[in-house]
Amino acid sequence: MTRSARGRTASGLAGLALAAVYLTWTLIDLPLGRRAEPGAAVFPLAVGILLAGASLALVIETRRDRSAAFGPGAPARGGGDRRRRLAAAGALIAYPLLLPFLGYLPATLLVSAALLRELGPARRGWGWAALGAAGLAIFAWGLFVGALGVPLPVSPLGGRP
Amino acid sequence: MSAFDGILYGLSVATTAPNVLAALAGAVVGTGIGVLPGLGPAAGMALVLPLTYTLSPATALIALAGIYYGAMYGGSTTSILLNVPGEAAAVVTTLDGYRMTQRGRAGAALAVVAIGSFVAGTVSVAGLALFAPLLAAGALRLGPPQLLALTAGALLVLARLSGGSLPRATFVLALGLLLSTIGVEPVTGVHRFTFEWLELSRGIEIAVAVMGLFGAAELLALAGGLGDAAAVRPVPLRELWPTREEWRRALAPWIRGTGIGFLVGLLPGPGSTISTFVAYRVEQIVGKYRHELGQGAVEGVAAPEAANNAAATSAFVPLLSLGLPFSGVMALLQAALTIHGVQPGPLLMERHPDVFWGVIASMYIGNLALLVLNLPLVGLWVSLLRVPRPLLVTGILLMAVTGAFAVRNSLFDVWVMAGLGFLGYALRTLDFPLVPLVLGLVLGPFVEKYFRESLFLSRGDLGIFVGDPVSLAIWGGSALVLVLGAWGRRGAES
Repeated sequence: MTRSARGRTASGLAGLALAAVYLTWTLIDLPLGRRAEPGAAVFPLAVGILLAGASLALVIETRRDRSAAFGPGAPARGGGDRRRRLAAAGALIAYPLLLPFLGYLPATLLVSAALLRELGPARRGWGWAALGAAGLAIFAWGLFVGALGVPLPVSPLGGRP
Repeated sequence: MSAFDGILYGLSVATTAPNVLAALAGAVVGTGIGVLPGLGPAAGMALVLPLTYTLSPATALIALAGIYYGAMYGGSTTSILLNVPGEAAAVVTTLDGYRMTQRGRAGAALAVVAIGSFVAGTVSVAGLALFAPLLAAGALRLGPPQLLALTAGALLVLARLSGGSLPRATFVLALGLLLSTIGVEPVTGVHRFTFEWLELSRGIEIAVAVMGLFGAAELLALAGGLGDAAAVRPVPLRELWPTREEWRRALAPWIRGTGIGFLVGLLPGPGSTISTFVAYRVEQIVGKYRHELGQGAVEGVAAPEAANNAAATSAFVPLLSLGLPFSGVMALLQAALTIHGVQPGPLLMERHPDVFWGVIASMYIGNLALLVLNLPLVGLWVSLLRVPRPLLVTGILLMAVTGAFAVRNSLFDVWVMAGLGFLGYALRTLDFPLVPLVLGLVLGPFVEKYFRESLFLSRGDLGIFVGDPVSLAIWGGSALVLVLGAWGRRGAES
């Protein structure tokens, strides 16, 4: 079974689990109302059933589609350098984690420099990364704070913005 | 207000200094977004969206509309010069555009695109000014059952036409609808799926979701495929003028492409992309020089590019007149308007004529700007391809995180954006279409509202949903499109 097919089957199973939790929660927590005055549960109920049905159909479709499931082709898209993708994913998590503790400019500088260092060619060292990070951070700060007046996190250490 | 009066009023709005600047800036930024491979109009607009928060609704929409048709134009530049389509709607242009470059006619191809886009855009704006008010006037007569049929029917059709199989499209549509149910329920004030968390009670912000699904997901995709910058041959200004023969041969395809693009853009689905394929196919059938198509024929560039721009303009008709976004980009524009407290739909023309007519009239300015600025600046656009990809990826990260925070000054929104970025990337990797998810999130509350209002009106009689000819016709039409779509797909597979 190819990675795509496995991934789609897993998505279908995850969708079924999500639909089960969602429907249970809807029935326990939300009022159904009457037909003339439908309550807050009616639409989520329909959505949950749709999700369950689509998830089931997805699992069946993937299992039926033998050529996709067992054929040699159909590789998962989004290949490329796994390490670079992990670096970008790490930056996407680390950046909002650091923001409330370091404030906008230091967090931006740190995350940008680390990401540039990881994504850039090996021959370019930390100097290039630091320079690029400084340029990007100043540009973003000028744009969002200077031009648009967005109140970004500024506290040097601690405090949620 | 007649269409002519409306255009005049719109021009008085669009020609104010901030709005002219917004149209120009939008067209220029959009061209840059279109040129950069991978960064399509939806991702680019999502990242730029936060920059419009401080603008007035009309100015914000004028800027975003400029980005959209600028991106449509920019996508063709790399198709012609590098055989690399900047976005999906520019794929067809590579067939003959790049061949023209190989034959030393790159400048002429770029000029044919620019002039064709201008002609198509300008003609389509006139069509938009005529059609949108008519449709809006008709929509004002519709009640909740008909609006439910229209919204839910459009949602099903869009999910079907957005690519992927029916289970895959329905799966992501259901995810979008599920996300739309989070927050305080508007009729009774009941908290749904909020864990008594204040941030969740405000619901999932559409702009944040789009930034995650398109912007952050793009960041992860781009990071995995960093390549070397492309080498491009410079295009001298004197090469930009087409020959008399090229002018003559481009005229009919421009006209045909404009008509096809305008009609296809009115329909649900990725109109711009589909229109280019239809226009090219029509040229293969009726074109006088059809035997030259694929070998660098002017017609192969003129028709798809005119169709692409006409479709990009006519896609505004359902959004502005019905409040129904028929594509991901239009959903994003609807989100932008909602952020500014403006609800697109039949009442938009009456309540916010400055937005309605201002945006339409600004397209004339934007199209003119694209023609005047972009041809001489073609070298500058191509030089964008030399921007180191690590800088581009890091820039997208900063824009996505800062932009998501700027929506409601909330770190929670940044986490939602990041989470949806991972989800979007995973779904893309597994060949799921993302547009139905956004449309489910945007249109879900409307479907629920019309459904409940209908039952209130009929005191619980379910017959109200199919009890009138308009609702029946809309449901029937939607079912027909679904069946024909499945039939066509089966035929194509066999």
